[in-house]
This record gives sequence, structure tokens and C-alpha cells, in this order.
Amino acid sequence: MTRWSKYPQESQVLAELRSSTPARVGVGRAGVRPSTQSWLKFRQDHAMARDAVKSEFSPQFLTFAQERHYPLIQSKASSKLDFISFPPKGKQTGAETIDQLRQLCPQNLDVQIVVSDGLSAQAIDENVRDALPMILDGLKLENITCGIPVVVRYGRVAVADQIAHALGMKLAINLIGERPGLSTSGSMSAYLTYNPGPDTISSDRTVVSNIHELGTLPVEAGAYVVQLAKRILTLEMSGVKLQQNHSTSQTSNI
Amino acid sequence: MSIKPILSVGIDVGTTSTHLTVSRLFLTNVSRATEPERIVIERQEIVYQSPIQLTPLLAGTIDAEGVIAFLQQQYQIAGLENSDITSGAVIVTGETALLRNAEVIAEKLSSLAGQFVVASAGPNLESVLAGRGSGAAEYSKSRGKTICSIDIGGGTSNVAIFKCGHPEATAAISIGGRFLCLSDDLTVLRISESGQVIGNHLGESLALGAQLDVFSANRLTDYAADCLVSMLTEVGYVHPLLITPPLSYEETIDEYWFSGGVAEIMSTVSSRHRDTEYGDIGVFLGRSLVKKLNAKSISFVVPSDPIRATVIGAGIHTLQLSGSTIAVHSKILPLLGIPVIRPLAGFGPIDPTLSPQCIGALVEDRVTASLKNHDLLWASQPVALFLPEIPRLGYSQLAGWATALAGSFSSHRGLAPLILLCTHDVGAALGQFMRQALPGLDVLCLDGIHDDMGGDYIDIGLPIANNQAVPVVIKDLVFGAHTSARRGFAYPR
Repeated sequence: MTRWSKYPQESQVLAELRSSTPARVGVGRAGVRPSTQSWLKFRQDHAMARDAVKSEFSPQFLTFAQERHYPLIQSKASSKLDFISFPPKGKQTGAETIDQLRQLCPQNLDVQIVVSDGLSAQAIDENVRDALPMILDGLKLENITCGIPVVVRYGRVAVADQIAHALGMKLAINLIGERPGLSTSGSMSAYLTYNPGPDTISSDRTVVSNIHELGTLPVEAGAYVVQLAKRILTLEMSGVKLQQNHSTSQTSNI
Repeated sequence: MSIKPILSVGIDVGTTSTHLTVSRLFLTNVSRATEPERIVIERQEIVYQSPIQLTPLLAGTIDAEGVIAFLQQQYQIAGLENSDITSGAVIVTGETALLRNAEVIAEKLSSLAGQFVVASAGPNLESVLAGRGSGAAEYSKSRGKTICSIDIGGGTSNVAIFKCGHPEATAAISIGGRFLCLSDDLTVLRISESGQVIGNHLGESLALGAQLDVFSANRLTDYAADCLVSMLTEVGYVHPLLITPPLSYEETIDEYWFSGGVAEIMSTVSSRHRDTEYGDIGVFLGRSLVKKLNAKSISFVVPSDPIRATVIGAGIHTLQLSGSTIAVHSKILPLLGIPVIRPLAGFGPIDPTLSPQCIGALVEDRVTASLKNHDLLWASQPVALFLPEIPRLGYSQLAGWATALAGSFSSHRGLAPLILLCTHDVGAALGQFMRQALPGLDVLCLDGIHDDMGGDYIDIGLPIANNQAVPVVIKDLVFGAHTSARRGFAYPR
């Protein structure tokens, strides 16, 4: 897209600036309003973000999961609308589902991976098929044991803690679609919780965010999540505690 | 989160002058809280600048002991211990005749410059460092301009063109303010090789002890200035004094920035300098340049403290920090003086539609050719591979590409560790694939490394900021085992 610039002599700077960020910089204006082009782009991105929230797992992703025999379960939300209207329902799945998982899945290992749609199933569709194989390869390379990944429809971050706790796993990793923004609607996060359970709170979790085509690449994020998992399992802590440990070892190290 | 600053020293031993600058580099994490760390050099602060001393000469070469004594004395004045310095660069520049013992000097100085030493006699690196040190690169970046930076020292002039802060082209010519040393009455005290070339060209027979008049001094420097300006303005200008391929850059230059000792003269009113104030022909050269540039209506900029451009560049701009999502899996660091090859330079972004076998064959060929070119045997020494732009590949594509690379390593029976360098943020992923493909091998895969200054060797330091990033310097010249392969001071590539 060519963008009109008020300062043609500075166009090199603007070009550099624009290429450095997906944010709306140097988009020009018409009087006091945005130019038509950038206004339309804004509305387009906003519409895409709204669509992403309502998106469901794509057939391609479901085939990917099915081929690998990953169990597909649902949170306590009964539909997308229910999930969006009553957010707490996405944090848990029903007791029966948990019982089924106990039958199906290996237990008492190091890592339980959960894949949740969260606020953008589109993000899962775009990133998981690159990030997840990377994580599984890496865990194997590090001799970290891992159960069968579980796919959760209408899931939120905490649902992974419940599942990993029920299966007796030391570390929960939740690959989840992020709340879409105006730069991208396909961004995924990985939440890592050491020793997850009913008492887990947000500060117990370590997160790697902004995993998408234009952020941290899914393959790179996958390899990084493995390194993080290794560190968390070694230090037996995640979230703010890990970060604090990080800062103190930092000052003492150098 | 605060990270301990790094002390970095720049030492410039030139044909004319010797001096040093000590800077403190402040590091910080610029990523958002939920993203992987990104450690960058946030700002620099110059903590000590030595006076500028004439380089001591002894029997036609630089007096190594004299230089070292001066620098050690400066360390004392600055209150520094050698062990305080983390990083540094020793730049030994100037005319080749004086540089016969450059390696010895740089090697002796390396103990003063901390863990990483860039010791350069490569005109490419120097040109870029001078442009960064003078502020030309930063100005080009912040204003989005194309700046041509010319650093004119005693023996050589180094040219670098920056577009939006990125170096686009470099060249160097052996013309400097000291091609003739003169006494106050214009008696010739010393003639450099380039002085001889200039004299011959003009039919002036220059001889030691001969007395010049102002007219012939001007004639000599007018010609030298003419060569320099032609080199800048005429694409593909060739001259016997060029020590690199000609400057090739065809786009418009917005501004010319002059630094180095001669620029000091260009910046002030000519009458403020006595003709032979520095015991050489430099003042004449400065005036001739101003005259020539004015005649061509080329306006130019001389930044403040132009003579220190190279040393500031050397002290501040040689150290890089890798990305934080990288693969550093063993206790093999630091690694110093590892040869760097660029088997895939000019390869362009990898075409993701190529089959892994096809990529494999291509990589294999390129690696073989590149090792051969550099006279390196991968089986007898570790080699670092600089990778080209790696596009945003998915899992299976990257797996194919990594397997191809791994295949080329094992077919060359490369010596561990396997060291891969890339610019784009794929270090951790690539490293993981390599470890998978080459089990039991030490793999070091760094991203966030920029290759814009060239250089034939790399030093990789101990991780900083809780293993999140490693400091890296890429340099032209190394001391010890591998030096025999590189005699003289030819252009690096």
C-alpha cells in the first residue's frame, strides 16, 4: 500500500519507521480526519478482530489434531456465545470430561500441553501446527516427558491448570489464542504453570506472547518454550517467582 | 531490571597519532514483559579520553614499546585496571610501510582491551567504524539521509556510505595528511610510498632533504585532493593508490561528512593553522580539499572532535549482543578467533518452495566452495557459518533446510562446535533442529547478529543477563594460530 506523506523529503525516514512496526504510523490525514484509505484499513482490521473472536477451530486444524489422536474436549461453556457471555465458564471443564481424560491420557509425567481457542481460534489455526511439533521435538531432546496434548474448545488460560492437575503433571503449557488487536487477529500465547492446581493464580504463570507470523515466529517460540520449560522444571518455579529469581541471579552473576 | 554496564576501550594507533577512548555501554531489556527478552545497548558514555599523541616511530616502523608505554600510562591516569575492560578494539591503521609490525603491536595491545579484541587492519571495518564514531551513521538513520563519511588520517582515507544508518558501500585510498613529512621551512623529512606515487605522477622529484616551495606543496595536495574527491564523486574511479575496489554507489549522496585529523584542519579557518603545524603536509591537504570541494559546490560537514571518530567507533560500535532466543547449549564459551564464512552470501532469501534435497545440494556446494576460498579445513578447526536471510518458514520447511545444513556439516566432518550465525530471530529453532540432526554435538546458534561490517573472525563471549544473550564481535584480524593464512593487509574480501 502506498501511503501519502506530507513530508516527501522525509520519506526515507517514514519508510524505515513504518517497516519497523505494524502500528499505524505515518498514515497521513485528510484535514482533521484520517485519510479514507487508513480509515478503511482500520475498519477492516477491527472487523477481522471481531471475526477472530467468534472463529471456531478450522477443519484443517481439527484434522491435524485428529490424525495425532489428540483428545478434543469442551469447557463448561456450551457455545461460543455462552463462552463470550460468561467468561468464567471457559476456565474449567466438567468432572465427566476430566474422568474421560484420566482414562485416555498418560499421567504423572513432566509436561501436559493444552491447546485452547481462547479469544482467537484463528490464532491456533495459524500457529499451532508449527509451534507444537517444535515443542514436542524439543522436550524429547531434553528428555522431558510429555503426555498427549489436549485440545479444548471454548477454553481459557486456567483450563490447562485444571487438566494438568487432574493428570498429575508437573508443568502445564497452554497454547491459546490471544485477544485480537488491530495489528493482528492471529496471535497466540503460551502460558506455563509449574505445579498447577485449583489454587493457581495469574502470577504463578509465565507467558510467552505475541506468537505469530509477524511477532515471534511459531517455530522460534516453540523452541524457546522448551528452554523455558527446562528452566522451570529445574528451578521448580514459574511466573513472578521465576522472574524474581531471574533478576536476583542476574545481579549476582555479573 | 538493571544489567551491569560494560566498559569498552577503543585504541587507535595510526600513522600520525595514537590515542584511546574508554566508554561505558549501558545495557537494557527493551522487550515487553510477556515477550522474550531483547537486550540492547541502550546508550554509551565516554568515561575517559586520552590526549592525542604522535605515534612513536623506530627504524621505519611503529615503535611498539613506545605505544604500549603511552597506553599503559593512560590506563593509570584513567584509574583503570586491564581486568576492568570487557570489550575493546585495537585499530592499527595507516600506510603499509609503517605497519610491518602491526600484528605484533595489536597482539601486545590485546591484553589491554579485555576479553574481546577487535584488531583491525581492514579498511572496510575501519571505514564503517569511523562513520559510526563521527555520528554520521546515527545522523543518517535519524534523518533518513544518505551520508558519505570520509575519515582522513595520516596514511589513509576511509570512505563509508550510510543510507538510513545502514552501511551501503565502503572504500579506502592511501592518501593521508602525512604522505610527506615537512620541517617548518618545507624541507622534506620523510616520503611515504603514496607520497612517491603522487610526486611521480606530477613529475616532481621528491627527495629527502629537498626543499619545497609553497607552490609545489600546494600542487601536490591539490592533486591528492583531486584524487580523493574524484573517488567520491565518480562511480568506478580507479587510482593506483586505492587499497580497495573502487567505491560503487550510484544513488544520490545527501551530505559529505569529513572526520580524521585532516578534517580538523578543514573545519577551521585555514589561517588558524601554521603551514607545517603538524610537521607534515596535512594542513596543505586540508586546504586543498576545501578548495576542491568548494569548486565543485559540494558542501560538507565536519562533526565535533573529528579526529576521534575512529577511536570512538572502535570503542562503542564493535560489540553486538545476540538475540535472547538462541541455542547455547554447552559450556564451551567463550570462543575466540573463530573464522567466519558466508557460504550463502548473495543467495537471497531461501526459496521455501525448493525441496530439502535441492537446498541440501546447494548448501553443500556453497559450503565446499567457501571453505576452499578461505583455505580452511573444517575438519581441523571450528568454523562459524553466517546464514543468509531466512524467511518466515514453517516447521516442515525449516526442518528441511536445517537438515540440509546439518548434512553439509557432517559430510565435511566439521569440527565441533557447530557455530551458526543469523540475523533473523530463528536461532533457538534452528539450534534445536541441528541438535536433533547431529546428536551429541555442541551446537551454538545465534540470531540477531548483523553482518554489515564484514570481518573474517568472530569472538563469542560468556552469556550476560542470565544467559539471555551473548556478546559478539566480528573482526578482521586475529592473532595466534590462524594468522599465517592472512599476511599483509589486503582488503578482506
